[in-house]
Amino acid sequence: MSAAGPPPDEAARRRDLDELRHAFVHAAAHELRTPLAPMRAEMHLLRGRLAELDPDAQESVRVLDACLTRLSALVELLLDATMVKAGTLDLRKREMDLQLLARTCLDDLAPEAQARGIRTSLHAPAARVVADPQRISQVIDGLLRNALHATPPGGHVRLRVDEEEGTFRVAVGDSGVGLSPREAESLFQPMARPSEASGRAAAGPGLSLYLAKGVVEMHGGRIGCWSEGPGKGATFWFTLPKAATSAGGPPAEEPTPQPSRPAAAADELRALLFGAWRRPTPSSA
Amino acid sequence: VLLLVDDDEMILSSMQRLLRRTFPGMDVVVAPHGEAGLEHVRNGAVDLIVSDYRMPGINGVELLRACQDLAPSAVRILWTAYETPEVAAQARSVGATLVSKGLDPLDLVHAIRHAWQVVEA
Repeated sequence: MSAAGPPPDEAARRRDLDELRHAFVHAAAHELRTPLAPMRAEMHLLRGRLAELDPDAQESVRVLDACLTRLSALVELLLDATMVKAGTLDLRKREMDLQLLARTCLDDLAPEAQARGIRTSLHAPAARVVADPQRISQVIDGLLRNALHATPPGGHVRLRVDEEEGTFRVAVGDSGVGLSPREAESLFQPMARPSEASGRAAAGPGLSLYLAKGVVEMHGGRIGCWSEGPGKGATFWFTLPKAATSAGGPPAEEPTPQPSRPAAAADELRALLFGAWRRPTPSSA
Repeated sequence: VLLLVDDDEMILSSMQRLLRRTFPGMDVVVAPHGEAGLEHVRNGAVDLIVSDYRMPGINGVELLRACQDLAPSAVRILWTAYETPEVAAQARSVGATLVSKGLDPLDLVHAIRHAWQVVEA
């Protein structure tokens, strides 16, 4: 393979297969949602009758409940990640207070931090932005959980919101295991996983930061991370544009057309699905 | 009367039991496809219609659009695993609230409770 990359027809074939794989994963995640809905409804009914069961059966229900919650979260993450890639994530933007959201996210995780002996702190001035509160909450929550899992007992996690050149910058800093420069570069790619040596959280399919990047960029913001190196803590940050005070409301949400599904051989698709879910780069051939 | 329309038998069965238990005063009827849902609306007073989006025959948006004429005062909810911006816009166009068939069935319960309070008020 030449240094200039694959020939045009090979590049087009890869692009088609990548789009097909994406379409398949997206459809599969949707289909997985359907049986999960009644399973969750039945679990809800069962939880209401937990006291009628003997202790062994109660424990079985709790384990099943936890597994079901985890499975549902993974399916949602997979689905969200495919929608980010396609640019079809449905954002419900409105003017909101980032300060309140940051405080709520930190309060929600305070018991877990306390149980693990990790101190938390918040610095957040009033910060009006036009954003989807649920999605931004998901991003902050993900960064906070990431920081908690990377920080040993006795450490600290700091959440800051600062005004910065027409934007608000949200930063989650920790005194945890840190990152190598190479890890910092790749963490926002799909399926990215920190090295075993770093000890940074590797739960889930490696899509959380990829999803966070997509959500932030769909809001017109940027996302990144910074660390002095392994063992020296890390800061994950993102920005959101400030709400225009003269604006008459949130920007209109334009429907984004779904990408069409390209035709390709089923066996090639099957082979690709069992590989890493990563967009092939021309230089990787 | 709450009408739940979905082509998945398990979803209909589970959600009917969950909704009956959650809203004891509510009559929860179910339909396995859009045409059957329309029959229910034509035959009786339906106060709240919850419909899946993707179904054989008429889809959820088409069903809810027809219900705008058949039962204009009925509250409409589109409950879907396909909450793309395009589907969200279609839901808005028929005056329906979009609820995700996502993480928690209680999202639908909350939406129904909210809609019911609005109807009762």
